[in-house]
Amino acid sequence: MTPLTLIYYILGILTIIGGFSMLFAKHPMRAALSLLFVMFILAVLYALLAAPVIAVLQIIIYSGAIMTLIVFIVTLLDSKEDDLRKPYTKCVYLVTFLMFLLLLVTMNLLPPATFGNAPMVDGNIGALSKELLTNYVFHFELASVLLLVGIIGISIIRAGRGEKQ
Amino acid sequence: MQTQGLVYILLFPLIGTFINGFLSFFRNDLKTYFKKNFQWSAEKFSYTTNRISAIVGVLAVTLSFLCGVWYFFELLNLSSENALSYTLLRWIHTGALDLEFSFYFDHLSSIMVLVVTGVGSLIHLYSVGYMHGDPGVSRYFAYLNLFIVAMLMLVLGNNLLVMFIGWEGVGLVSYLLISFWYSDIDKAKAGKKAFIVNRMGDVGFVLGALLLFALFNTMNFSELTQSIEQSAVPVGYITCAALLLFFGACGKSAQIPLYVWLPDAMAGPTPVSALIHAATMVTAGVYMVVRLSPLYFAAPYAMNVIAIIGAATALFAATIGLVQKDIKKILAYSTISQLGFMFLACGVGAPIAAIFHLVTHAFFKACLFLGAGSVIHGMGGEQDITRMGGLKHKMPVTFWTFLIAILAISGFPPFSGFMSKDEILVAAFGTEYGSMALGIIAVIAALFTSLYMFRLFYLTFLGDNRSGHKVYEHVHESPGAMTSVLIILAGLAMIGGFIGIPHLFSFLAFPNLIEEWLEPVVISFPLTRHGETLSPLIMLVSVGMAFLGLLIAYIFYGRKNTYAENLRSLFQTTYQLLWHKYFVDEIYHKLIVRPLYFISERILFNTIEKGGIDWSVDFAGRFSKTISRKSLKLQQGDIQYYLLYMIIGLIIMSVVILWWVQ
Amino acid sequence: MIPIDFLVMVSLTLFLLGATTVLVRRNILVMLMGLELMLNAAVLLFIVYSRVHANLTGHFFALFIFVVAAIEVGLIIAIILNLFKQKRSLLTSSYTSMKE
Repeated sequence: MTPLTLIYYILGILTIIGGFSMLFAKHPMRAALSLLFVMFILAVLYALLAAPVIAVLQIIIYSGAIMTLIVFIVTLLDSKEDDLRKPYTKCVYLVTFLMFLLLLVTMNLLPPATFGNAPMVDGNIGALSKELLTNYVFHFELASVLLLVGIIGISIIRAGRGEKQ
Repeated sequence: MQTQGLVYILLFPLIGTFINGFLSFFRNDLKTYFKKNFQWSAEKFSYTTNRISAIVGVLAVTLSFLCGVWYFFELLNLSSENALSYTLLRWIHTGALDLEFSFYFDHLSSIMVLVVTGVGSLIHLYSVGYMHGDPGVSRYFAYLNLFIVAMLMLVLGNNLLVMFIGWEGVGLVSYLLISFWYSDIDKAKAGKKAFIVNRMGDVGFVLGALLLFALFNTMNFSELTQSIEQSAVPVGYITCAALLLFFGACGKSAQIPLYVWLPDAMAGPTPVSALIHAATMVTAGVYMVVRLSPLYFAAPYAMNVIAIIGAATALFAATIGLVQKDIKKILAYSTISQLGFMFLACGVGAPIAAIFHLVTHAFFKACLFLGAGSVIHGMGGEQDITRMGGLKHKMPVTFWTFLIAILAISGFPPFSGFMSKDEILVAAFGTEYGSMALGIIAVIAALFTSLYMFRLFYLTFLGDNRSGHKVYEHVHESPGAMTSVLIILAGLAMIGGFIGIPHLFSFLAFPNLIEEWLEPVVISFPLTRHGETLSPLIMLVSVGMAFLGLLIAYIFYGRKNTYAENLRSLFQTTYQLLWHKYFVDEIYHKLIVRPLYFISERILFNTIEKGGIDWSVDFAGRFSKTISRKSLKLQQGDIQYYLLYMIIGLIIMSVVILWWVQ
Repeated sequence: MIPIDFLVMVSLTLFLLGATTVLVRRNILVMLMGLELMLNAAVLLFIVYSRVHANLTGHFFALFIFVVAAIEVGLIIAIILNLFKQKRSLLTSSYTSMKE
């Protein structure tokens, strides 16, 4: 086990701890912060996995924009009451466990990934942008249209309702 | 050989149908349109549309007739074996079944085309006068033109399926026209009856056609003819097919046991009775049997059945005709009787005589019906001959033309009916399939024919008027459009017979035109030696019967006496039997209609429909309602439950897929 | 050496934790966070396999997932604000009026 592998293990276990912490957090703010933590660790993992651009975007978009938004809403609405709930929770845990088993089985069915020191792909911004603006340009445009539609949707949901009332 | 024009024979009436149908269907819209934009009054509008409809209707059929004549002469120039045919499209092409939608104009169908379009155009012309002032003129001419289309398709089709289209087409139009004045419930019912009885026959036709197809793998007439001559199919199958097809012909041509619709069909306008229910449509069955005569010749048993049914119908209908009072009903029974003669001719192996009689019958029966129409028109709707009489002076043209037609149908030489009927009688006695019994029945039927026709004649035109002063004052001769048609048809009834002068007069060097013409396509059985020797005697007897009928009618109805009354009271039972048409309608009602109602209502409706189908449908409703009530508890309205269900579903699906992969 | 199996397991566990969060927590905002966690788990898987196969396709998937996630969060927050305006509550148990 090389030191690098050890780092992978440590980071992986950290994310899982973060996930559990989110699941069992009493207060939404605490859950949000746990999620933020998971996302940062994930960003480190991405960077290690030769995806520096994704790592940076993860920090900027997820940790920066999305989580900030969520945290902001949590503070804005400030609803403290929450608890792990109800008799049916047990059932959910059972289901989750089943799912876990199932996924494990599925994973074992997949062809084993042969991985030694495979060649590293150039995941830098230059290569990525080149690919994005040539092969994936159509998808890129679609994504921009999707964003536009999303913006319109949000404005209708918020502003449109206000107008009617 | 350019034969594309055969389509035009059908095309003109079809165009007429569309134009008239348009005028009829959009009548109200057009009326408002013209009122709005041209300030037409209702009278002006209906006058104009009726004019257009009449012109289009008559013109369409006349053009079709001219086309027919043109191709008739084309055919005349060809060598005798040939026929004109034109394939419109390759219709059905699947595996063994290879059908073309094509028209076949040979010697036989040429005669039919000429009769249909010729008599048809005359009757169209007559209708212009007869239907004058009726609000439904456009509709009427649309139907009539459609009838001509369907009838021509029946006649021209070169395979059984095209013929069947025409066959159903004429049935449909017949129904539409019988119940033309549909607001009268009795007339609507008469139309329905005709339609249903015809359907029964059609089942036979379809089954017969399918059986033929199963046996010979073709529905094409010429191929069928060849296959029948060459094949070694057991005669039982052929007889079965022939009898099934004949059952279809019974329905269309009003033979026992399916004749009951024809007398009721007289509810339609009189020109319709003349065209459809006397001259053309009802002869479709005869045409079909003649067209398939090789099939029938291959099935002797079927021939015998046809001959017996034909003869029986001829006599049976004639006896009913003796006592009826409605002028159109009498003519209807007369038509049935004459159709019986035609089938008799087919059955004894003389299809040419059948076609000959078909042609002459078209002339004189159309003339009779149109004359009757003229009388009804003049009497202001009266149809009961016991309330007529003395119309001779009021309606001279009708009187004389009617007289000629009666002489023709009764078989007075040298009128057309004499020639054709004599040929049938000779065949009934004289061919291989004929017999003494058939001949004698036919002769008696001929006597009755003469008798009831002259009874009708005396009661209608001669003697004193019994309609009352008021009505009699109003009696008037029909307009020129009607009388001119009567004159033409009377002329045809008079001279039409000369296309088939009996062999007995062959020493006069007149050729028997119709026989020569049909020889290449239709085979007739030759007379036996016995028959040859009998034929002069038969002719004498036939003429004698005509005169005897006249004499008896004169004794009973021509003079002022009460013989008829006395006879009626003497034979009260017989009279009642005949007057009620042998109670056939009642018997059918008891035997077929009532059980059918019983089955439909008690068994099918109350038990199966209500207990089975309704119940199961209700059960489905109740079941889903119960299930919904039960499963409502699953619907918490809480999104997380739904998500949980979704994930459980996902798990199940994954397991299934994994199972599958393994 | 990169412990692929372990990373896949991590991704899987994160996904299930996210799903459990969505199913168990009653606060809509926390449910939203669970959703985000699930998305992130998916992205991790893409990146891992992108590294394994040495091509960029996984990166683009990740990229587009970010786009979708951004829009999704925006929309959901808009909806949550509307809901909150109605009942002043973020608990799913308050929003069961679809029942019957």
